[in-house]
Amino acid sequence: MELQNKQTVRIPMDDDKIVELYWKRDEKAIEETDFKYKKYLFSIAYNIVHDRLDCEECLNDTYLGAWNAMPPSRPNVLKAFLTTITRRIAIKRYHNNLRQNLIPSEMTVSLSELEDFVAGDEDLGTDFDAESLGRVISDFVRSLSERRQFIFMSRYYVADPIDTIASDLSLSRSMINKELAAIRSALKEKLESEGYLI
Amino acid sequence: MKKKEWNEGLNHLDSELVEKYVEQKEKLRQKDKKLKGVWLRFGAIAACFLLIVSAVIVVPMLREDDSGVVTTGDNDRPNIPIINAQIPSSAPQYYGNESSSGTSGGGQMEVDPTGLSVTAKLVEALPDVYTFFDDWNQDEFRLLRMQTIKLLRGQEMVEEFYYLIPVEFSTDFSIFDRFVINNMAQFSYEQTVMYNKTQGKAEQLNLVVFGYRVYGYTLMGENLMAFDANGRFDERLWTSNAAWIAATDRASSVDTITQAERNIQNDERHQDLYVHLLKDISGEAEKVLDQIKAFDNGVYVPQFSTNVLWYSPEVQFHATKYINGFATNEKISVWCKEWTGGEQDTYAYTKARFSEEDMSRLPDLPSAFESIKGALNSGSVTPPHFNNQEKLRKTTSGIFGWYAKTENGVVGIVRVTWCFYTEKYQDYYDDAYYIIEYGSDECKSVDRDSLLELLGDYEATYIYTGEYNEYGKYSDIVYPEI
Repeated sequence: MELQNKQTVRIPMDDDKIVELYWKRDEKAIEETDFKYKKYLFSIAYNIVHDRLDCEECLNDTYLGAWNAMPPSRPNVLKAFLTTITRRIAIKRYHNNLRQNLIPSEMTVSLSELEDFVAGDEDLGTDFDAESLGRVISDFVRSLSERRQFIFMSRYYVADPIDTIASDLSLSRSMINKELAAIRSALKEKLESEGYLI
Repeated sequence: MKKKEWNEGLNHLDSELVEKYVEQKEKLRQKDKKLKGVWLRFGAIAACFLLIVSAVIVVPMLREDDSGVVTTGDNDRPNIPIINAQIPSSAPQYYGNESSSGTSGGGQMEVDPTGLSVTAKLVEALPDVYTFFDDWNQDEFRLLRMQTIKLLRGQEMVEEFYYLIPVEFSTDFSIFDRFVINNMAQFSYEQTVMYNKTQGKAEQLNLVVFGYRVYGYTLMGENLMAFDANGRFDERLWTSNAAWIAATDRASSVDTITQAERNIQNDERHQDLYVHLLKDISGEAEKVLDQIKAFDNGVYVPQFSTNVLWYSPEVQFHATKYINGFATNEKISVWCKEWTGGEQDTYAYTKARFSEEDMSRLPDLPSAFESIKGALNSGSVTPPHFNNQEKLRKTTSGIFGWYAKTENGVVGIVRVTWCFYTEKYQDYYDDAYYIIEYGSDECKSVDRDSLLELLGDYEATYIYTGEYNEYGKYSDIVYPEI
């Protein structure tokens, strides 16, 4: 059977080429990023803010962030770079929304699992050092097995639903819950030892 | 530790860990794809093609319609997408209110999130075009009433259901004897309300709606196959119009309905996830079902989280109240016990709850919305914070209206948004708010802070709460350094 207009089928561009477009200040970079990663980035934002309108704005800000950051940045893995931007933007919006008592998102559910040692949504303490905490959490994640690293990142970094993680790893939901419980226990120990929990 | 501190700490996670996670995720997805079998290989092409179809068909429609979305088409600037905040432009009238049942089977259904699959017969193709109330993109669908003949994957399935077909895929479905429908996801509970665009009315659907949609485009070619009375693959579906073009490349890979069914049955992934019917909700959470009963007190639009269409069916749903086709700041959420891991289903209401008195004292938001839309299109509505038109260029603008319950009763709010770029491609947003009160025929401009004050403890849904500068609002996000 003849496939009509086959030449019009569009294939996502390689990441290297997209990054190159950013460096050339070519507006097509944003179009290609949107074409290739919109669904993925939308799902990251949606897990956190749980509102389509907010997600659209998060994506707009993500593309703008990428545009402003490249150059000088030249990310090794574009998708990871965009993930980081989207998460930061979405988290910021999430905390703004939380102040207004909006309906909880998947992020709220994921945070509630950590309520043994993560609670309250007040402003940051004056002596709080996010980078130091980031290093402690990074060390902790590196200490986990490959599988638990993936589960930790899925659940607490991008707030993926447990069913999604189970589906990704072809494991049962109860197995993921057990793994998460073990991760939380170890995490609490780590944060206590580093003086983050009083 | 505070939640915000935890999240800020995570924001500074080593980039190598994020990269590793993304690569792991990608590998898992690739592995997942390989398992789908040869006949699914062209899904990506279908997706690409459909995006193009969307771009060619939908974008011009958005630009041409009267929804209030304005595009200047400035080709010298990056084409960053902006919100298509569209709602039905005229106030829908309500009808429906049929009995809520119509479903059968019941109980808990166990399905594969990537593909509840059935063999089905067409009962009726509804003639009208539908959109979802809470879909900002206003994607248009036809509804096929289907009768389940055989469940291919999953443990239980309703006898009849609606299947969503994007309008661009619509054809004469009655000429086919049977369909094999793969990769179905439950899109909404029974009793959900969609906007019947053909008739300009809200309509309650008495069957569960299934579909396969990922944020505006579909992979229909791999999800719907038609067969004739002899069980032979009927290629006329895939050749019926241009939207199916990517599917036609696979036409030779399936010859009979038996073969298609076997392909699906041999794929045994993900068997431990759940889809619920409204009647499965129990305990205290069951009370919300009375509250969200459509047409009793406005229209509630109950839906699963949209993630059901992307990764997996979440056993939770949220219902936003709509009045006259406009959203409100009233929302209800239900989390089923299978989702939370708790002992019973739970629920939450917003503080905003529209009472009968509120409903009898609604401001004339539809008129206000139309007025502001006209003013925006004529250029007489201007961004309030932006004060340097020489240096910035407007790219897009949008308009969105909703009813909000406040300390002083219900007001109608219209929000207009603008997006600008500087010569250096810095990006700015600005927005303006207008309110109309009950009994008034004036839609007044109101500053954001006064609006938040007016709302008091009620939900400030859809309102920007960050800082403004001389241009409007500008993101102060710290971008990652490489």
